[in-house]
Amino acid sequence: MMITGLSFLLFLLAIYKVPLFKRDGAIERNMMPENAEFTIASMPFRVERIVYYVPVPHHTYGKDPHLIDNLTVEYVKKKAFDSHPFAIQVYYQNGQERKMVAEVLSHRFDVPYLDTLYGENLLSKKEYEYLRLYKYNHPSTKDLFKNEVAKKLSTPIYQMK
Amino acid sequence: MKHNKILFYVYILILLFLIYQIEGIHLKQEGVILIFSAVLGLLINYVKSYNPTLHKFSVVFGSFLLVLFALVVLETSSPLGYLLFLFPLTLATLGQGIYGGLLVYGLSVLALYFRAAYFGLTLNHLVSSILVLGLASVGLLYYATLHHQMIENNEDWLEKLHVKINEMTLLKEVTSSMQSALDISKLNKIVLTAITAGYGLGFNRALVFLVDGDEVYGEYAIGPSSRAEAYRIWGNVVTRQSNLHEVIDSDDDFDETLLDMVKKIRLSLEMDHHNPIITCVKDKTPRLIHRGDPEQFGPQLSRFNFENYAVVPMISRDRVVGVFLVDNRYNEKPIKDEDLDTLITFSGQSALAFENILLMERVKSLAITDELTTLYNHRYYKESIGHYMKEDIPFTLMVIDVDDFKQFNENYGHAIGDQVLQKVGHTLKKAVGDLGSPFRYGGDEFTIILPRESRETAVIVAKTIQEEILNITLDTATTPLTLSIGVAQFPTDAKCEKELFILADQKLKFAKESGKNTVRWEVPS
Repeated sequence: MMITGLSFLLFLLAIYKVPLFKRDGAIERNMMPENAEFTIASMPFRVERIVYYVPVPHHTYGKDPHLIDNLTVEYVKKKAFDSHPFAIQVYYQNGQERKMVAEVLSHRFDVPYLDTLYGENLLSKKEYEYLRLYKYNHPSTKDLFKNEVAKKLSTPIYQMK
Repeated sequence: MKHNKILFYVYILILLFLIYQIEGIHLKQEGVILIFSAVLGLLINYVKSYNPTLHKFSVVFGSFLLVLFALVVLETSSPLGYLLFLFPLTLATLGQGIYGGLLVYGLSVLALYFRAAYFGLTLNHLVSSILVLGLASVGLLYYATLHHQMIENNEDWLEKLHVKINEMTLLKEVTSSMQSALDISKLNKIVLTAITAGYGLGFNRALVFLVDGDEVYGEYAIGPSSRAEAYRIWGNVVTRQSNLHEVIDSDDDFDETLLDMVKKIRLSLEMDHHNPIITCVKDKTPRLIHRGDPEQFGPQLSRFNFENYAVVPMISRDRVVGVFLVDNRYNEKPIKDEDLDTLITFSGQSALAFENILLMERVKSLAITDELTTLYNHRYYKESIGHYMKEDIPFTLMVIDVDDFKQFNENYGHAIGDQVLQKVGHTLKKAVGDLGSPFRYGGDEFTIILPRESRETAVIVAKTIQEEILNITLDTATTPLTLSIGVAQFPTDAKCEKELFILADQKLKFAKESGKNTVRWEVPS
């Protein structure tokens, strides 16, 4: 039973934890139009859908010289076995202090370039929804999200204008 | 979180160690299960990557297959061997909820029955296995139902919270922008950008109408002309700009037809009782209309097919300042009660901003307008001439005087004198049109500035004015009304304001001395 138990564990790890297939190339070849302005990685998303749980700009976090390093992005799943996360959260951690500073929900995650392609009938509704969630789950979203949060936390309002 | 993970791995290690202590390692016998689980895992990982909609199903199906395979390989005669079915049962219940759990339970019972029928299993063993699995399923399903309900409720509330926070952030940003707006065109753009898609509340088209006495007039509109255009513009907004201020400052090519048409609309509050805009102003009540009749908007607006729309009044101090009309024509997203609620909050802020700007523009207009003639006053003349000279814009100056005005006052009274000034003012406005601006300089003296116009054009305008003036009839006066006009040019004739005016005024005097009703423009030698 020892090996059987290990087999079941291996099965769980293989289906949930290990990203084995890189899909960007295949998806861009099969779903995106040939002359697309963006790749999946470079596509911007609507940053005003991000909800901040701390004042922005933040008088303490915003002045941290290691702000980017102290921000961590985490995906949150509704149920343990969901294939897609339902929220992306950004935490600020400095020593013992750990606080959630921003969040964007998958339902409210909008990628306007995909809207444009859909509006021009270059994507079907199914492809649109697939790509939207794929972008939500993509590592580039993590980076874009983190940079945007760092910018909002540290940039004084009058400089944003 | 990190501590939980460590605890989990410690727990698994202890469990495996205990199994090892009891049974040892049987790699030869069970190795094939390990390989089978790896192959299944890879296949499901592939499905997760390329067809995520089938992921949950593949997990349940794969785990069930794995258990069947393990049971066949192990050929277990242990009565507890069938508890392995709890593995797919748990995954199915957590992943697919009640139906997933019931389905896997059903399949497990079938597998047990099959085993009993073809490979021999005592009835007692079969029944007890079904019962144990059934009890475990009930427990799991109960937990899963509670968990699912709690998650759904939390998700619902969380989404509502996000919507509200986004709205508040937008309102904060828009309010700060509105406070910085100094003219109505800027305010129009701020307000409608915040309402339409790309940035803000996300409506496809938005129109603003303002109330002026007994009339409602079209003030501004934002909305693309087609679905493709709509998506292209909304995409550009996010691709190129990052905040509201940049979006407002951009010049996206929205549908000019809609804007042009809206700007021509004037509706009487007394006339069209079926028009939703009029009804909204009169009732001071917002309306959400589904499958409305576009014809109700009147001939000018009906071509834009507003069928599913919202009309919301902008109310300030219990007075309707204007109306918003919005719809989602291109993405066909239904407008919900919550959307209307947001729009109402937004319209309250907008009403205050519009009222302030309109009041400011009125005060500004009063400060530069001569009350009697409605022409610009002396102060604004000074400002305008200073502006053209500072910017080095060439212009022609005309100084105009009513011939024998003193006698009009003496012979017919000051009422007729005022009438003369009013009619002259009206004639000057009409004759100058878009070529320049007429001013009342003081008393019976007027000036006209024609920027970037030649001396010849100025003389043509002067002659037109004189002809028009001769057609004026006054209530009791019979003396014909005439004007004398002097013309000078900047920078050709003089380079400073005082010199230029003295020169034009001298020419005016020559015109008077040479018999009045004359224009003098000669270039000084």
